[in-house]
Amino acid sequence: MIELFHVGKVYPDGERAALHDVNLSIAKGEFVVLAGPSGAGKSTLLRLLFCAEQASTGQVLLMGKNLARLKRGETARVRRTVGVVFQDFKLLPTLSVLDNVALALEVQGRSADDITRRCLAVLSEVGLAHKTHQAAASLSGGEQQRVAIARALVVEPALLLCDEPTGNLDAERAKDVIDLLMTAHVRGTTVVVATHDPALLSAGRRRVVVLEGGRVVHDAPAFADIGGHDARRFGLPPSSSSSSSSSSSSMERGT
Amino acid sequence: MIVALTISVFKHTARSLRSGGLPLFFAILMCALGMFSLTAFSTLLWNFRAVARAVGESVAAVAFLDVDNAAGAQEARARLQLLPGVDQALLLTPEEALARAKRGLEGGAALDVAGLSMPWVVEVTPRFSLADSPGARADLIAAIGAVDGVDEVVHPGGELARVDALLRLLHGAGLFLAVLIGLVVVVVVSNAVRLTVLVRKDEIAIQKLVGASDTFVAAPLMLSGIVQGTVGAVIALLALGIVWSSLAQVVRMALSGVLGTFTFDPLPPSLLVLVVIAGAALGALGAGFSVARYLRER
Repeated sequence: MIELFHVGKVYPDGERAALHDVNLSIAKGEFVVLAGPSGAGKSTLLRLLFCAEQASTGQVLLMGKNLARLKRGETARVRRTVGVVFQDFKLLPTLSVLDNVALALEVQGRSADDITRRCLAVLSEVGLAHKTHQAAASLSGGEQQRVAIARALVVEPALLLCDEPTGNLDAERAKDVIDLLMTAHVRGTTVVVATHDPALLSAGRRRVVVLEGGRVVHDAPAFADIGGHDARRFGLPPSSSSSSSSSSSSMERGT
Repeated sequence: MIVALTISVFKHTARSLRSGGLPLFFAILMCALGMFSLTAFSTLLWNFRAVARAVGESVAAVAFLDVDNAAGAQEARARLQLLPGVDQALLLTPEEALARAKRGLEGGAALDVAGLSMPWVVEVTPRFSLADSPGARADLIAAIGAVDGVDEVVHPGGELARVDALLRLLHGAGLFLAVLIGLVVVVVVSNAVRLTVLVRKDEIAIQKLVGASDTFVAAPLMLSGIVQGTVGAVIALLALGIVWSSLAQVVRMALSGVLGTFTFDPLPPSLLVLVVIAGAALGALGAGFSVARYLRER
């Protein structure tokens, strides 16, 4: 699904590399959590995956396509197969919930009936069927994030990218969002989440990739493998089985 | 899919127009003012051309013959009739020519025509309007003068040349006005669309995020520009219609005193449609500049 080969990213105004020699492979159907302190490069990595940025060095392959070689029209087509969820929701506040979700289908040229049917179905799944005609701005943060997830899921994406999806939510609302992401994962969607949220890091069967200073410093199927000291360093909850940290060393990448 | 996309594009165009606000209103107003000025000028020019054409068509070249009998005059008339570009060559006897000269001098100064005599005369009516074709006019006059039996050719070349010059001046002024107004409309619409892009930048960014193509983003902005130009042109025509209904009679009467019988007509429907198309085209051009700049900057 996703292959990163020696990927580096330096922003024009940045002296330090946002990403440095990142090698990562994510298979179809995986649930991957990108963890690490602020400025570690998590969001940059996601931005590379939804074509908002291009890698300065190396190659990013998404579903076999080299994202650096996409033509203008192809970028739009790739994005239609990728759902994206942000911490700040990125909804259009004056539009209704339904119109916000419908936007993702309108750009694909779906018929009005199809759009309405799919939107109502996905809004029902996220528990907002009763608020379809309400303006997005009138919803709570948790509800807005559920609308954003509905917009991402309505296109039945092969890949769902989430950048701090629970960052602006309280624990209860965050749990709802995590449940929705897990549901999408169970249905076969590949999910990549950048987060600090301990609840997300310990949720379900997932793979944790820890970034620090633009490098992958840990890549393991379970958060517990990181070890208590490192966990705190990366802003993660303390490990309950730090003794297993040695077994994870073989999976560590980068420095 | 195409139909659904088109419906979506129109929906987003409506949203784009709704978010246009004051800049959109200003752009439409400027379009209307510009197209009104241009159309009003075109109407005057159109009527002046009609007057000039009427002058050119009504006046024929007159060939004074150097013959002293009817047979010679008939031969000369026949030769003139055979010239290319001649529609009709009408032979006038000296008496008929004198009678016409007298009628032409009626109301003028108290000229003494009692001792005046006229030669045989042929009135030549060309196939083309003398006013419209100065080159052909000069050639025909030269050809008439070279025909055997023709002594002198009198033609309204001087008057028509002045009319030609005035028409050229008016055409030049019209062209300048059109270019100036076109530029103003393009700049105003371009800025209105650019402001719309700024107002809707979040929406456009989200559209791109969920996979909107450049065409999907650009089409509503282009359509918004076209709507601005078209609405401006239609408002201009409506305003011109109102002005026309109240002022046409006054203009007709005022110019009839100067130009003789003067019919002041509105522009034909085909030109009115052209005005609307021109408005739409200018709107599209203005929007096109902004959209191209936006896509380039992205």
